[in-house]
Amino acid sequence: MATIELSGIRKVYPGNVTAIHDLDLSVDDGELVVLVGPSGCGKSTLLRMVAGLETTTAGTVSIGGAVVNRLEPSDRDIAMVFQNYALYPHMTVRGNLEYGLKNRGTPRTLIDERVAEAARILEIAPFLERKPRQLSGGQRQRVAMGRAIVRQPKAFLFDEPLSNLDAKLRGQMRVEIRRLQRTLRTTSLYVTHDQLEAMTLADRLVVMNAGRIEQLGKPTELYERPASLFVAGFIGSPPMNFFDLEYLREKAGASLPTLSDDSDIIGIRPDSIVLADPQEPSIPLRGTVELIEPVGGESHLHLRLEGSDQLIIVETPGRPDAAEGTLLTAHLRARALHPFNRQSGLRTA
Amino acid sequence: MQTKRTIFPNKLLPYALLTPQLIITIVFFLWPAAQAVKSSFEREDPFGFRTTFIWFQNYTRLFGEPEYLNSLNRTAIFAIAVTFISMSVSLLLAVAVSRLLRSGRAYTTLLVWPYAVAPVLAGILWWFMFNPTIGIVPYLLNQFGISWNHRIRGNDAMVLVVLAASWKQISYNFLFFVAGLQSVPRSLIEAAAIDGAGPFKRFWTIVFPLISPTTFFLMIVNINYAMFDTFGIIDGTTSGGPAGATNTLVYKVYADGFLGLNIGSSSAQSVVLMAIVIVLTVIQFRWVERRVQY
Ligand SMILES: Nc1ncnc2c1ncn2[C@@H]1O[C@H](COP(=O)(O)OP(=O)(O)OP(=O)(O)O)[C@@H](O)[C@H]1O
Ligand SMILES: [Mg+2]
Repeated sequence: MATIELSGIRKVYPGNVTAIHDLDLSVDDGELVVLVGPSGCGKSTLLRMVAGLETTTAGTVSIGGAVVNRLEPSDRDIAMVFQNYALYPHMTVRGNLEYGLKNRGTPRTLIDERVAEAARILEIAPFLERKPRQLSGGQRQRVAMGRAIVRQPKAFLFDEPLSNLDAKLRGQMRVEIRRLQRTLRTTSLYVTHDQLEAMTLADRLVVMNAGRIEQLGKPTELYERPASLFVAGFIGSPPMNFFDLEYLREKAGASLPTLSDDSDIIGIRPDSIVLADPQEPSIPLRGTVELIEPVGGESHLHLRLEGSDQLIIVETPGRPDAAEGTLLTAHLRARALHPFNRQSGLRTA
Repeated sequence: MQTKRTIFPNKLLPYALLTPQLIITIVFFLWPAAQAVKSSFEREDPFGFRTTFIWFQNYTRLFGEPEYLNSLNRTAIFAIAVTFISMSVSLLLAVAVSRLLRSGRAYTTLLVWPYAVAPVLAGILWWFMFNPTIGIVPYLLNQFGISWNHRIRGNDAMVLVVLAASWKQISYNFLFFVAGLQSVPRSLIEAAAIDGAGPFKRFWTIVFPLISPTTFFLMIVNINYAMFDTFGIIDGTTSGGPAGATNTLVYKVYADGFLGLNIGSSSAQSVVLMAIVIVLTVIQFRWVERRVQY
């Protein structure tokens, strides 16, 4: 059981590439913090600095209250699950699970006990004597998880552990990782590209951009109150729609709520735009349906707005009556508007 | 993958295209080999007037000769020593290079040079360096109170040819080991590091097992090299001496056949060598076919 504290950490790669800019982050004991962000924003770098696989240019990394900057990965007592699993191909599943314990001189009886326990939890007992190449992708993923949990480390580090699985399996493993982490209560840092994974797994979610933290908080907080244009556009699928304030003011009339003076761009989530008049303050916009994407229980309408030629996405339950090519009115709920300042990129209210 | 097939309209063209290669193979390999097999069953009188067919007498006599048995013994020592030394040194160098690959380029080029040196030249180079009267190495060794004379002492001579032959082969092994090491995924090493294995343990439990296909391939190649490809080096340094201490099987074929003019025995010896090559090659191909089985 341990906390992870990063304070003022910076990473400069050879060739003067600054991957992480003076970043602070603390992960509480037993908490699962998810890092998301666009490709190349430094997620893996951050994780690898915690693991000790990359040196830290400046700042301190502490695990369980002790500064570990100078410690080798082996002495940090963490476990990492890699995107490609990194199973040792010449060892059996059992060999893979035992390796870390044997290296630390764990007594045989304890090793057997731990391996049996991990195999039971992850349901990989039938494959213990097989080599990794004789396993399916999902089974390999479980073995990789098993290798992390047998050691009962202070912290788990996950670098996109599910991205090599198909959608269905990813869903299953996501739930399993959540369950496992809740039971073991091991402090975890989890890197992902997947929105759903980020939203459902995280106790707290970190959105990173170009080596900095854009926003940090509960997933619902980030979704409901994004602190910047970047977070607003990054979290949520389909993404948030943005309007010029002037354009909306012209269409809205009295229904536009009062906004602080520095607001000049307004965002609204696709699920806060409705087709039927909502009987509450709203802004009506007319547009032509360009495309309807049915996605299970809901549909995504791509609407080309009259006058501005802007394309917006509307998420509507069930199947809309409208056909592609028809003209209709969409209503933006006035309560659900997110005001931002274009210059600073920050939320204004 | 789809392989493209070319259809020749002319029935003779394919044969015409193959002819040069076939002629070379027949004239320079198959025909001499057949000649060797044939003359290994014959005895030629001292003046070369008459040859008599004597069945396996050349072979039985060969394996009764203490010199031949000594040569077998020397060859075994030589081949094992060369294989071991050249492989371990090149593995060490390859590991060193792959740890610092950026600056490794120039270093790699330097290490590959010996491979381009002709065997006899390599032999003469070492002959000069170790020459008891004018060489630098005996001089230096003398400073430490070690006397060196490979012209008199068999063990010195063996050390010399082993060093020269290993040196020549290091480049080749090095290239294969560098390639082999680079094919070990980085994440495996990192996973092992996190799993608590230090650099040595990582090497012996992860890296070395994973490059075992390369190691095995090189082992066969090196044994082959030491047994059959070191004629030039031995000729350039010790000429098989002193007192047969470095008279390996290959060198003995030459010495007995061309210097001793005992064609029958020399042929029988080369047939034995051929058999050994064939066995080694079969082992190698069998194994390569089975591919990498972790
Ligand atoms: N070894 C390295 N040398 C130099 N620059 C590097 C190195 N590794 C990463 N970088 C750079 O650091 C930045 C962050 O890389 P990092 O791998 O942490 O991104 P990431 O957020 O994990 O991206 P992805 O989501 O694609 O995995 C990138 O600009 C990358 O080019
Ligand atoms: Mg990454």
